[in-house]
Amino acid sequence: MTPPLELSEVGRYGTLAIERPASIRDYSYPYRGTELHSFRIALHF
Amino acid sequence: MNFKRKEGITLIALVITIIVLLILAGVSIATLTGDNGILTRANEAKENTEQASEDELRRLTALEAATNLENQPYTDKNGDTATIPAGFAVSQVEGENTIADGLVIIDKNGNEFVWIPVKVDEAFKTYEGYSNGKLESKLENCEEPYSEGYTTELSEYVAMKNSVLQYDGFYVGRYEAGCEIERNRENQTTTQTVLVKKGINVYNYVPWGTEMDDIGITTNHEDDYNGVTGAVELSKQFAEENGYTSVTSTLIYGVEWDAIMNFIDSNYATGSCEADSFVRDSTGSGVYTGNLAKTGSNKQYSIKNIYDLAGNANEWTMESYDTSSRVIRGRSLWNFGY
Repeated sequence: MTPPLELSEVGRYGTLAIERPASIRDYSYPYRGTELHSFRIALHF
Repeated sequence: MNFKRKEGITLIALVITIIVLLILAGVSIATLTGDNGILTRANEAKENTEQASEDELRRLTALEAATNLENQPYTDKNGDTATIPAGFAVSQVEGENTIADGLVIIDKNGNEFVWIPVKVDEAFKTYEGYSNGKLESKLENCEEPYSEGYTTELSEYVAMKNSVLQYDGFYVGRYEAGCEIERNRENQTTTQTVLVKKGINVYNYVPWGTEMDDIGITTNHEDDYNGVTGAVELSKQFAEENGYTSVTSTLIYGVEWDAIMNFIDSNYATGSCEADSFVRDSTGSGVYTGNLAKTGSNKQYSIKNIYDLAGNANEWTMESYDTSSRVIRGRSLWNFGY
């Protein structure tokens, strides 16, 4: 699996001209936490 | 001799007049337009006034929330229903009080959530997402709840699912998790208070947990990741930190992410989203270049009143991808994801 990139690393790789769907799945090691790793909270009764 | 005087303007006078008029027109256009032009400033003033008005309404809603000590039934103008949790109140801002548009609720601390209706029990499951215009084939690798996850992962999933089906929906953070300070690699080892508000820094540099089956503080990996509380634990702590009495908080589940996609585009469940669907191609509807934006940075990046479901930061979910990784959704600044 390719590890997450830092913003500073991205310039070396450029970007790919592909669509950017909100529904897409990506994946990462659970202990990985880069500048681009965040989260969203849900509430349940 | 009779010299008759000819009256009128000379060609020179006419040219000078035209030049003067052109100069005046140029000055007027420059004054009206441009970054500091009257029109631009008037537009900014209008936006600032509207924003101040909205902020005031949100403050009033937060005050009201503090007085709501029990769950309240809610019916909007369309006849759609939801339950408002104790400690919350419905936003008074126009366009934020119907379920179809995205019902926004606010707690006493100003955190904002949006109701996601789940109308058909059988539809509450994970679906293949889209990649490059086509449905992916990743679900066969994914699992939720992850069978080899942490001790209470299964029971928490069951509790979440029962709640969603009993109440016909759930609430999701209107924004990516945020915090007051700008997190960077040097200060990311400190746990900051998590907020779900507009205009603050994204809570980044956050792992999911320590291992696939451990949501404790990271201790045994690369130095950069040690000593950090992960997204699962931070999410679970959120409800208690904010004094919620009738709802629990969790990291968003994959099945919930897909419920949001279904809410946005009902064709998602059948894999038949149009090419320009936000669910299938959100280009232009999210931050995909430059630097990490603050939460809720642009109205253009919201749908159903939920911000940054596409682009900006990757968002961890409870779903596993395989035996060594967890699923992140929404894609990030850069096309790679990760």
